[in-house]
Amino acid sequence: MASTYTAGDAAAYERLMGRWSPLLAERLIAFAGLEKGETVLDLGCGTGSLALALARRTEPGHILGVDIAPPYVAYAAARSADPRLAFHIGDAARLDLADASVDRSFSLLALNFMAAPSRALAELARVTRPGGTIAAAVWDFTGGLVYQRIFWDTAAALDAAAARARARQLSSPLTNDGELAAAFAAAGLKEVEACTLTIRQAYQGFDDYWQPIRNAEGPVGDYVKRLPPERLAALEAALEAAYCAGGADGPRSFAASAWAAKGSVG
Amino acid sequence: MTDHAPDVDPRLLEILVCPMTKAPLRYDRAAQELISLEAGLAYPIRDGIPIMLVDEARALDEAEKAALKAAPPPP
Repeated sequence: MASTYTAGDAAAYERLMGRWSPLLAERLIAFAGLEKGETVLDLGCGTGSLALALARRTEPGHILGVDIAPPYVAYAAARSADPRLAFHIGDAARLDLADASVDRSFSLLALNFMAAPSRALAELARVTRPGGTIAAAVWDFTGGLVYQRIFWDTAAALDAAAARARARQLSSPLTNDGELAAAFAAAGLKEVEACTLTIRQAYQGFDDYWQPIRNAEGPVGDYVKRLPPERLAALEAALEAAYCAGGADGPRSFAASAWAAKGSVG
Repeated sequence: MTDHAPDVDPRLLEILVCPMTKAPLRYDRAAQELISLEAGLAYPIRDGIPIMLVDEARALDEAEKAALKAAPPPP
């Protein structure tokens, strides 16, 4: 298995995460930079949030999006007619691009789900030209992603299986302090810099928070989809109490932070 | 594949290689396949999207390999 992320329904992904990831994409692009005419790679492009954010910029000459999940790639490819965008299906650990064939590489919220992140980084270093920049971001599940900590901590208090799922999620590769930058250095990248990128997730009310989780993809969805109806109802009630936290149901804004790193190919 | 299948992006075609051997590919436009002679595999293209997964590729038979070896790669 080349990815641990259950990816089937692109629209469900969009409701859970795709409405937020464009905000993070802008931050990652600002951190990594862009130059006129570059061929830019988006590895683990998913539903295309980063690739489309790149296409909103004038600098890229070509934008290549690669992902292993066919439903996500089809969704991404249908989102824009910008002729600079090209999507295909590929495996990050066995990348299908020639050596030094791209100028700059990105990976947004994907490396931690890959079965072999170190191989993916080695492949990025191979396909990016010497002197080119590689930049990536992964969610800080442990300390940065408030909406998901509310979910897992509430579920774990009700169910030992949720506690185990939370432990797996919080120990995902590269998602704890310093791990992403260390992986960049281990891949031989030079001038490695790390930072935290933060966005806000603004929910209209509990239903806006709950429905995307109820129909989620990925680790959250894998857990929720297995719950029998009465346990699901108990979780929903506990989550509503946690979301409202003693106040009236209504808008809430949760911080969402990702670890980011960039480095150049030596 | 129909005649209306979207074409693969030309820039992508220039830089795609076989994920197994990293060798250049031959584009069979009629069959909508990208062929790796070294690996003996044909990667399918569906709706203009190349599927560059070894597990999804079609194994070439001996007659196909012989014909490809005999024909010079396109310029």
